[in-house]
Formats: sequence, C-alpha cells, structure tokens
Amino acid sequence: MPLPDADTEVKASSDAAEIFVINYYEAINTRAKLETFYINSSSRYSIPADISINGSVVPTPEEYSKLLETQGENVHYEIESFDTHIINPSFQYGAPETVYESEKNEKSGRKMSIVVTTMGKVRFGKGREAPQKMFNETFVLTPNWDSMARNPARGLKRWLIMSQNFRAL
Amino acid sequence: MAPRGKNQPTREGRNPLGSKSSSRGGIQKRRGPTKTDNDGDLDMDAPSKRLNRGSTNETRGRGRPSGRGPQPSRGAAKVAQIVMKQLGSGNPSDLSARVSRPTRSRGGHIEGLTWLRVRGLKQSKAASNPDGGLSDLLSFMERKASSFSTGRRRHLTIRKSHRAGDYVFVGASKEDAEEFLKLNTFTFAGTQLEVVESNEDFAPPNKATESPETIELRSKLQGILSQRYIGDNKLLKLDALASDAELVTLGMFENRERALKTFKGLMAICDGLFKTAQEKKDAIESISLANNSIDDVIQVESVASSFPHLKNLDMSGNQITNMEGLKRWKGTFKELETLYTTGNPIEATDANFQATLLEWFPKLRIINGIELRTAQQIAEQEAARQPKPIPQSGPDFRDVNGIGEQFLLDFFAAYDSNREALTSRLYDAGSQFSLAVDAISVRDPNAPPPLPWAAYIKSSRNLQKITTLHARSQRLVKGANAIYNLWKDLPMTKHPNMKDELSKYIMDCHPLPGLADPTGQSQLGVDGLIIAVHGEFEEYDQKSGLSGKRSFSRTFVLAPGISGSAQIRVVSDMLSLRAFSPLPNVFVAPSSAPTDTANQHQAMIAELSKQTGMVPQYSEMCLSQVEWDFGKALVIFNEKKSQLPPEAFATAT
Repeated sequence: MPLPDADTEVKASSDAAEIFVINYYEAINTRAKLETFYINSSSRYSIPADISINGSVVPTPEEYSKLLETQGENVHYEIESFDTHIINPSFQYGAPETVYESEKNEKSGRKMSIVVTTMGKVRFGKGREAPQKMFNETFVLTPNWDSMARNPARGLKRWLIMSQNFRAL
Repeated sequence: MAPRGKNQPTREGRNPLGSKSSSRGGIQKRRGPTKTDNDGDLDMDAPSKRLNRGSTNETRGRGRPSGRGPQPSRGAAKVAQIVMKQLGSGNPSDLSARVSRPTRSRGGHIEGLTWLRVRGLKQSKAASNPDGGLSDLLSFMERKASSFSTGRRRHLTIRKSHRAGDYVFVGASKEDAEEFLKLNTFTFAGTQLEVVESNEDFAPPNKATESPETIELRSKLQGILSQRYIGDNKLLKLDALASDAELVTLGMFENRERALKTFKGLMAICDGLFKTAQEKKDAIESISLANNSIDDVIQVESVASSFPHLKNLDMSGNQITNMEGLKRWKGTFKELETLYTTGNPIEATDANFQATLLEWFPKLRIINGIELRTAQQIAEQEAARQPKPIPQSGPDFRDVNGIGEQFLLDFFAAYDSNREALTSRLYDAGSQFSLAVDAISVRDPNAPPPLPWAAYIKSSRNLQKITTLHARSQRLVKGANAIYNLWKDLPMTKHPNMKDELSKYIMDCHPLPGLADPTGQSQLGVDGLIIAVHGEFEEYDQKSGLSGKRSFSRTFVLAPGISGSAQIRVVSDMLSLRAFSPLPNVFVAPSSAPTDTANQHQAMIAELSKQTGMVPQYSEMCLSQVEWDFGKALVIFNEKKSQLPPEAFATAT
C-alpha cells in the first residue's frame, strides 16, 4: 500500500478541496445542475449521498436544486473560508476490483476521501443593501472511481460528495 | 432612434399624432433630388464623399430613405422643421446637454487657423443628406473658392470644421480664409450662404448660436406647453395635439415624421424646464396622451424617459391594437398607478391586456377607473418576490448509540477546562486539527466591536488565504501532542452549557462509512460519525487581557476507538471562527408563516413611508393601529396628517 507522503497528502487534498469549492458554489450561483457533483451520479456507489440542509434531509441532488430555486432570484453564495482534512488516504468503498493504475493513483492521493468545511455568506437579492446571512457547510468527498480509467469520459469530477451538511447561521 | 414607422409597409398609411402627410406626398415626390443648384454641387443621395475627412465633431444627420425629396420649405413650417430636428435629435436630454456641455472639443485651438462662421446649411436642401450636408458644404466651399483664385490655381483647404446650432464653423489658414470669405451670399443647395469671420474663436454650441427662429419657436412651444399644464392637478395635457390650432399653424403636424419630431421636441423642452429630476417629478404626476392616434408607443417613447416617475397616464382614444404596441414601455414607469386605455382597439382584441399591464408596471393599480389590486396587495406581492432563505429545522441528529450526543456534552466542557486531558483521551497520533478564521463575516451590528484575530491568525488554515504548500502543511496539526501544543496557546474559552442553553447551539450528526481502520482488519474501512456543530463561546486572551464573544462552527469526524483505549477517537477536528453573531434558534417549531408575515409587514412599512414621507416608526404605528390594512392606513394618515408632529416625517435629504 504505497500511501501518499505528507506533502502529497496536503497538496492533493487542498487542490481537490479548492477545485471542488470553486466549481460547486459556481454551479449553485448559476443554477447549473448539481447531479454530477454527487456519488448519486456514479454507478460504483450503491448508496445515495447524505444531504442535510438546515436540519432537513434532502433525498437527491435534484431535490436540493429545487430547494435552492424556492429561494427566488438573485441569491448568491460567496465563500470566505475553507479548509480540508484527509479522512482516509486509501478509501475503498465502492472501488472496482481492479482500479486502473491503482498504486500510482493511491500514491498521488487520488484514492483518498477528504472532509471539506466552508464558511461564507449567502446574499439574498442584489445590491449593497441586500440581506446577508452566514453559512457553514461540511462535505465529505470520496473518489470518483469512474474517473480512474484508461480513457475516462471528459468532464468527470475526480471527487464526489458522499455527505453534505449545510447550515445557515 | 429612427422612428420604427419607417419600416412600416406604407409610410403614409398611418397617421401618428394625427399628422396629415398623405396630402403632401405627391408634391414631394415630384421634387427629385436631381433638382440642385446650377453648379450641380448637390448630390443628395450619393454616399458622402467627405464623410470621414476633416475633423468634425458633428453628430450625424438623420438619414432619409432615398428617393424622397426635400421637405417643402415654406415659412413657419420650414423653420419649425429645422428647429425640431435640432431639438429632437437623439435623446431628449440633448437639449440640456447642448446647453451645458462646453464643446471646445478636439484639438482645441489650432495655431494660426482663422475661423469663419457659415450659416445656411441647415436651411439648405443638403441638410437632409446623411451627414446633414456638412461634407457637401465643405467640398462646395473648397471647390468654389479654389476656382475663384484661378490665377494662382491653388487648392484651398478647410482644416477644421464643426457644427454648432445653426452654424458651421470652418477653420482655414489666414490666406485661405480670405478666399472663403468671398463665398458670402453664394447660393448653396438652394440657400444663400452667410460667411463671416468668426470673432468667437470657437463658438461653443449654446443658445447664443441658435438662430432667432429657433429661439422664437422654442418660446412658442413653451407657451403651448404651459397652457396645457394644469398645476393644481400636476397634469400635463398632451391630448389631441394634432388639433391644437397653434401647433397646426406652426406646421408641426404636417406629416408623420414632423409630428414625431414635434413630440420629441416638446419632451425636450419639458426636460429643459426643470433643473432637477425631483423638480420635474414634483411638478408633473399625470400626463394625458389621449386622442393622438398613437398605434405604437414608440411614437411617444420619450415620455417614459422624460417622466420615469409618472403616476397617472391617460392613453385613451388612441389606436393601440395589441401589447406589441406598448412593448417599448415595458419595464418603464415603475411608479405608474393609474392608466386609461379606453377607446383603444386592444380592449376588444386582447382579453388579457389588463393582466399583462399589471405585470409590466409594478405599481399599477387602477385601469380605466377600476381598482384591480390594492397597494397592500402590491406590497404583499413584492414581499413574496423577495428571495427567502431555505427554512431552518431543528437538529438533524442521526446519532448511533448516543455516541455523538455524549461526545458533544463532554467535549466543550473539557475544552474549556482541561485541554490536555481532552487531547490525551480522544485524540491520537493520527488525529488532525486545524482552525480557519473568517475575518469578514456578517456580524451583529448591535454587538460590541469584534475581538481582534491576533491570537488565531498565525495558525489560521483558511485555504482561501493560505495558498502556499508550505503554509498549508505547517498549519495542519497532526497528533494529540501537537494539537495540545497549539491549543494551550489559544485563548481560554467558556462555551455555554449545552444542556442549559441548547438554543445557543445548532448541531447535526450523521453516520459516515469508509473511515480508515488503523487495525487494518476491515478493508472497506469502518463506520463513524460526522458532526457539525455551530455556536458561540466567551473568550479570555491571557496575552492581551481582552475578553468577549466569538461565534464558531466545528466539524468532527469520529471513528471507533482502537480497542483498549477510549470508545471513540477524533479523526478530524476543524474549527471555523468568525465574529460573534447570535445563531437563529432552530429549536422553536419550524414555522415559516410568522417570518412571512414579518416580511410583509416590513414591506408595508417601507411602502407607507415611501408614499407618505413618514419615518418607518410612525408608519409602523399607523399600520398596527389598523391591523395592517394598508388602505386604511393611508386613509388614517390623510385624516391625521395635520396633527402629526414634525418628527413623524423624514427630513428631506
């Protein structure tokens, strides 16, 4: 088991977190589809993502998109802080029996699961006077096994959301 | 801003503002563009030869469809046309812009240029050329003057030119200018030119350069406007313009194009009468455009830009047949409350037009004298359109065997009292901790100023700010000992007792599969818990001696303990810090209704304040007295207005 070294762990996890945070909130702000961010989009995972929004469990990413839409127009999420830790450097859940270039991927940190926390503001409406609320959100990201193939489909995300917990503060 | 009418299949077929163009059409046709002066200098329809030459700061003249002859040039009507062109070119604010803008433009004063003032272009037939005839005038002057001085066979050049009001100013060398002066009284495109030396240097285009005719017409139009203004009602009556004897005498409605320009000109004059937008808003609340044969509001579009705050509009007796004919006003007149549309064909053709109007004009309440919605309903609809947050529910605490609950009860008490024992009990060599500071969070405006971040900022691993690999590695703390070493230098804390003050916390907890199994027994990993908890703590910084409150969020990943030691161990502990701001209480029964009502009340207070000028406090008092019936509130306000103390009203800013 060639686990990533300490520097690789930090680099791989913070890069993964950064890419995720940028793309995910961009998708929320532009009302893009969210499905591809979740393990629900991969057949490798037999369980759906655990999505908890302001204390209520939301069954699917589609439902979360709908919930976001009920907020109305011009709702904008803005990240002010994020951080990440590695939960498991060699995540196995849902992995195919033979992972493509398994050792290399493990060594480079592609097989880890990470926890990402974000903090920021939700702005309701346009302009400086628009009300704002703080929020804090926690994600657990796990490898997208489909992206570890010889010729992975284009645009596949390397990590997918397995668990999500949002709270407006 | 060419009137769309040009694209209509029959130019003469419709008569906006009741113009009588058709009777003139035949005569115009016969006057072909070929009828030029004897020199054949004028080529009305040819692309302008000098369009890009010279340095004119000219706004281009409006083009005409080719094949159309010059306008009849007789008396007052002719002058009116010229003036209207000047008044109505571009947007209605042109007029004021023209007066105030000092256009000592490009290049400024060129050394050694002598300036001449030429009058006559506006009156000439060339004025209807694409560039207003300027290029033709300049070539005419150069060629004529050059041919004069045949003895030397020298080509004379106009170096600079610009148009200002009714004049064209041309700059040339002193020598050439003397030759150009000889063109005074020459005929250009049917008009006698006046060429004199300009002692104004560069006359900026202002009223001074307007011809007496312009000034006279302006004052006539102003007179007409003032007769049509009813000050008591703040009403400007622009109805049945085409049958206004004075306007007809001036020839202002002879044909469609003239009529459109006349209207623009009237709007421009209206604009010019007021120093500020507020003054205009205060003076004119209502406009009547009734009985003007308007079939598309594009013909009177400038009303919307000149009077964006209009409250009442009478469009009755016009020729609007569908919403398309009103489309250009969509999104304008944001304050419009009353509209009359009776006598327009749309009443019969579009059953939904009233509903559409209510959609297009947010404050519109009354159409044709019937109130379709109340101000309160509008305020409610507006409140409903405001974005609203996803509702909050109580904790989503899917615990396993009470492990999560026990952990939280234990953790904060131990973190406040004995951090060393806490790390040795629940953290091990693989545990990770980091903290992240958000120094720009939203905070409670009533709370004391936020505590400084000095004690935390050195260790903050906010990856938004900490971007180098080295710093990111340094600020990730791994292992129980290292974690304690960091914690012991952090300020002392006191978290509220979770049992006694539960509402100061929000906590969610879910099971999480796939954690690393340090024993290596389970290939797929072990199941654990992930907990997100939000709250506040009191802080005392031993080093600075400062104390106060902060808000925090903390995420824990908990895994089963390794056999022999504690029941659980902390895999990951992430602390997010922000300035103090109380949490919403999620433990009260989730009810969206009260917040909606509160929003509506706020919207009604704002609306009442806006309509009455009262400060929000008094608006609220007034509304609560009538149980939030907006209509009644207005009635009460009007009844008791005079008894209200001055502090009830917002001071004008």
